[in-house]
Amino acid sequence: MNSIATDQKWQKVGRYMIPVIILILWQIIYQIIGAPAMASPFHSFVDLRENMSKWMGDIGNTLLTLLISFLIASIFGVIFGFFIGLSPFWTKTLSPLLLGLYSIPKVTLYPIFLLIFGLTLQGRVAFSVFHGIFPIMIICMEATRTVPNIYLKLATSYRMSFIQKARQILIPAIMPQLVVGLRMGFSLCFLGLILGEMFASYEGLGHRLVHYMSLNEPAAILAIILIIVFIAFLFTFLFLLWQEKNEMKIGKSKVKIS
Amino acid sequence: MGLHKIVQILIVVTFLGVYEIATRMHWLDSFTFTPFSTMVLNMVENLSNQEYLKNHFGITAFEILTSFLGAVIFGIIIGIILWRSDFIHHIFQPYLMLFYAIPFFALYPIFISIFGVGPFPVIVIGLLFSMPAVITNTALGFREIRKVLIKVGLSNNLSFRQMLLYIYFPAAWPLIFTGIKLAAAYSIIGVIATEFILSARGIGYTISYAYNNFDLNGMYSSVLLVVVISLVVNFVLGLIENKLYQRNV
Repeated sequence: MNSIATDQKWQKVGRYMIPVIILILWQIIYQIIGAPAMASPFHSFVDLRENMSKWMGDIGNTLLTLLISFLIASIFGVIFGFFIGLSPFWTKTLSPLLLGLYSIPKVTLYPIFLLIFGLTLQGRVAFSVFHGIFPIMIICMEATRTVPNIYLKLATSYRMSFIQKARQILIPAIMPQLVVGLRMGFSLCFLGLILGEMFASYEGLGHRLVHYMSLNEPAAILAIILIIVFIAFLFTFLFLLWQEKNEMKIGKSKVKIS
Repeated sequence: MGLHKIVQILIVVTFLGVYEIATRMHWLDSFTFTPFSTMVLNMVENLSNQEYLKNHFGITAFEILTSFLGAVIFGIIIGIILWRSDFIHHIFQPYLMLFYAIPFFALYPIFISIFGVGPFPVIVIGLLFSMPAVITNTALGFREIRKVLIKVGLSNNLSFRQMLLYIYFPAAWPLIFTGIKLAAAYSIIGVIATEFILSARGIGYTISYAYNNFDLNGMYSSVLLVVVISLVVNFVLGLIENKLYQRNV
């Protein structure tokens, strides 16, 4: 018992050591490459503090766009996934097509969105939704299809209406997997948004990043990367907490798409 | 051929047909969309162009292949480490989940200063982007081998090397292969996205170049090429994967 406790303690320590190791590596790379091409962690943090107020607008803009597009992607993804998943035939028919769409590099389609929407917020939202909706849809579809038969029999034997069945049985049953899908969808929405902003935009974090790239200011570039990574980690962490809560309530989910 | 296969083909064909007619009849803006048949013709024309083949297609193919192979090799090695050591597995577990949340493309300028200009920084991004899928699936595959298989090996007094060769790898292979399939998709995405935004070579670059020069035909033909490449790779690997799972069940 005691040895397990110390093991867990060391694992905790190990987990916290990873960021420290990354910082040390960063410093070493800086020592090797030198100042004009690379910035030390210290410089980047100073840059981050000094420019924070200037970047606030871009951060807010990116976060707002991200939230809107994630909301749209999750609502449509869940609805489509759920209703396709109810029918085994359509699941079997549509899932290879959806998986194919999921696997293509969607960034290359961004110019088409630009041609349709122009350099607008709608264009970025539309692209971000397109970038992140597929995992939500695919996982929701698979989860709905694989709801155990015995649950459905229970619903029939209670003579539940469809709404009751969805509310009391189907939705709770797909919840654990759905959270995993939402997490992946969120990451992809964010990635798509940043890519879109980097390619063509006049606001947002991705735009700032490209701006500093052209000015060749490594400290600012790294500071913005820190912000992006922080946002990504924060939300992923929240999703993982939600996932854990669900797993405690319902049981561990088994999702194959990693 | 099942009914769902027919419906699938019908969906794709109808979509392309409607799109073709809509662009031909100018229902859709001809400054935004080009007909599908024109895209195909342009793509074929591009592919018969020596310069395009050498400077863009060849480089992209090289970058994708190298980053994919690197991801598979390093991913399996790291996956094996995570399988043998519970300690390291527990430490890295949460970070592997976070890996996809990082936009690695943002690191490209830093990689340029580390590795110099050329294909190498692009390869590194593709590799970083695709490796986690292999790592997690390898670790998972080895960890979920049925106990009875390991017992068979142990009762036959196999050495560790023999265990690896006859028990562990064959049993874990389907899951590892799923990781490899994902890695192929991700390295295509990583390489082409990096070229698209930041590089000055490759198929991804031709798309952004064509877009910036209002060359619609060039843009759509390269986009189509990218889509075709990723669909073909995915389809072939998917077939192999299905075979693997059928054999193992």
